[in-house]
Amino acid sequence: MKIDKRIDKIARDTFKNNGLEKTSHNFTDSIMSKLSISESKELSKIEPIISHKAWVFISLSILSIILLTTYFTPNSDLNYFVIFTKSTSLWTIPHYNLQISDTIFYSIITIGFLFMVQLITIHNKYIKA
Amino acid sequence: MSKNDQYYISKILDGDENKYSTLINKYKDLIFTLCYRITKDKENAEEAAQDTFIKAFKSLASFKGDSKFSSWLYRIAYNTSLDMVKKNKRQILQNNNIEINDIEDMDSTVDILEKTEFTEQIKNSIKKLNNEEAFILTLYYYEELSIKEIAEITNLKANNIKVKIHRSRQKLMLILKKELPKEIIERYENR
Repeated sequence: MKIDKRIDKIARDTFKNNGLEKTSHNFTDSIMSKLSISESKELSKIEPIISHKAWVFISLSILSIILLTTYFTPNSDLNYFVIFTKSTSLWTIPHYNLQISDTIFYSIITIGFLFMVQLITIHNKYIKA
Repeated sequence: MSKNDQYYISKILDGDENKYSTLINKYKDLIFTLCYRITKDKENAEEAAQDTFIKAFKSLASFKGDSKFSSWLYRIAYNTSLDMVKKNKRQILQNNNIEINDIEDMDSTVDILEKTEFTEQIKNSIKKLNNEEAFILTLYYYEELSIKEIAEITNLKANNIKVKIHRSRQKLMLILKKELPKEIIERYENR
């Protein structure tokens, strides 16, 4: 065999047998983090502070109070809720000729407050993070 | 382009960016080796290899698929590594002092290398090739790319690549000869 062909074969074997250099063990993770892609991180699931069931319970409670306020008269035997809901001064909603008791008014305010707390907490916990 | 690479590229472009880790894992050692052939320094090679993958990711949408994805990646690695060498102004061993003599004088060296393994000497010899020579020989012998493909990656003419491969191969043999233990060479020469 001519010397040039022999050298070609040796060079081929040299590169084939010498193999490849190895990267550091965290090479891929490092690139993925630089690209802000986490290989193993799953998307964070945002869960509400007040669960779905709790919201149903709160909603039903409020609805019950409103219904009791609306359909039970002050003279009814079951006027415990009525006393509870109508015992205080009434709030008048302008233009709609509607009056609601203090209790219902404050209930609506409380639900609104809870809703806002949930929004702010979720924002601080997940979005900013 | 192999189907696998195309599959992952489509997934990434569709928003499943985590699939990029599969492509990194597939090519990281070869890209790192190519960067190392040019930078001659493992730390710089790692940085250049990472930059290569980051640049490739950012330009993935512009990859048309006219060439193989791997060839496209090698081209980015080649340019990134050369830029790093320029930036760091490192002294790269050029071995310009090595003269390519009559290769008929290489008979005994070739005999030895055909019959014996010298892993460390071979590693050192590859490292002593200049950056471009080592890069081209790795693509030609390890990756078995054609001269035309190497020309496209390095943006050099095919004839130029052919000459470079021929000369680099002979240079590698001369470096190997210097790296081999003298007593072994003498033993073969005195036969």
